[in-house]
Amino acid sequence: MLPSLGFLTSMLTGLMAKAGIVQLTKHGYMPQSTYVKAALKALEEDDLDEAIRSYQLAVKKWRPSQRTEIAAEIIASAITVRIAKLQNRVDELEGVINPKRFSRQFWRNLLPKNREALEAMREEQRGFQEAIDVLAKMKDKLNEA
Amino acid sequence: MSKIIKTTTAGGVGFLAGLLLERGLESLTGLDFVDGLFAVSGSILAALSVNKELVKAASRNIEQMFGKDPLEITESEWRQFKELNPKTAEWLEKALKI
Repeated sequence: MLPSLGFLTSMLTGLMAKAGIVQLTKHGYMPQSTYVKAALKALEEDDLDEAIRSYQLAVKKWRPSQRTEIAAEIIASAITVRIAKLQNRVDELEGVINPKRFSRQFWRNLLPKNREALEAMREEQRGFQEAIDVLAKMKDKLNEA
Repeated sequence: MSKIIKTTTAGGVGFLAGLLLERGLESLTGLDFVDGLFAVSGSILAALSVNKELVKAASRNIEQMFGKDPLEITESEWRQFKELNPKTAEWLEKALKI
């Protein structure tokens, strides 16, 4: 009960067509709107890496258009908003970790019971700072495209 | 076996011919031919869908920037958005006929 040669041929052709489309998509040969849409979809799902990758593909083979320019601005703006939010939190933590000399927080920080909480805040601040650096690099990558 | 080889060869040649034709037409006319084909074949809907996605994404950005619904932002907030995102704002004004 082997499948017929005709069936196998059509299956092989189908598979090859599918693989071909995957390759065309991967290398930026699909219509530009496909990539712009994919970039916006990724942005909606908070996947900035994928959004930038799709945007880069949108301008890899095709000339930049009004749509790609707007998409780039939207992605850049989304990154800026995230950086601003993280920076606000970093500044907030900075006020607690390194308060003004002789302020109430300054004395509070000297208490041994607050030492652990302060260390956790420093760790959190470092994490946010790293995230800001990554986002800034992403923005540079977007501008390079 | 020969049938498989023939089919795949024909497919490959067809693909290459299509690609060359598309590239040739693109360089002759200066048009994004694949996009053009899609538009002609009624896939203008796809482009419209991208426009819808752009409006949605811009509106999400406004929401994240000001913490409120885009319909509720003040004129000064809109000006602020416009300053930071000139192309998007201009396009939105045209698309939404503000």
